Amino acid sequence: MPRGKHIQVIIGVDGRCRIDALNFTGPACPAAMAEIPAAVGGQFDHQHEKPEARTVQRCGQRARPLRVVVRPCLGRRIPS
Amino acid sequence: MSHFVECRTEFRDPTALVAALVECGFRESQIEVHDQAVPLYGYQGDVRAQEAHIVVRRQHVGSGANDVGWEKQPDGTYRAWISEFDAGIGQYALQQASARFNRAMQDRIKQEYACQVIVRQQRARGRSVSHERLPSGEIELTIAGYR
Repeated sequence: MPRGKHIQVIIGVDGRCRIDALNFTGPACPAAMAEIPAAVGGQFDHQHEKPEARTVQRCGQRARPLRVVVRPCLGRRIPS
Repeated sequence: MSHFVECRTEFRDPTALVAALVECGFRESQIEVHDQAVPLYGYQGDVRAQEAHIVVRRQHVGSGANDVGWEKQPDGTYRAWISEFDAGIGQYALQQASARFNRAMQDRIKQEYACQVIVRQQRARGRSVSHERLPSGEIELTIAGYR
């Protein structure tokens, strides 16, 4: 798998395409993504921003799991 | 901004459609490509009402088959003309598994077509495209070379 900007297309057994952009930033991302539907016919079934894009504005970055650390208080008073 | 996109495939590029048919087992010499639509013929040699620009004649489809064709529409897409017998639908539904242009074959043509058009488009833009068929039957394309 390439390390830089790349697009992954999964063509399903029924000809539907799932397209994902990885390691893109900025407006290059939707521009690169739009090329593929234009080639195969242009009918979008679903299109949405990945959740991480709404927070970090970066393509292809995998969502990190929320890390929660729970420490026992062992009877000590929790400072308010 | 980041996108995840899912889209359907429509036939628009006749060269890619022919290449897809070749990937699906037909020889290039068995596929006719016409600028003007030509009539399709039935299994008894009878002229059918349908016409097409890309045609696989019945002798290349199978025993008792009719011509199969794709007709260019005013919007630039190609619609398929496949008889119920060759698609294995309607009164021939029981023979769907053995029908040459059954649903599985029609889907495979769409899949190969999508692969052909994407690879051609991206290579024409100077990008590298790697291609892998997954155990699930899906095709994975990885396109690199973006600036």
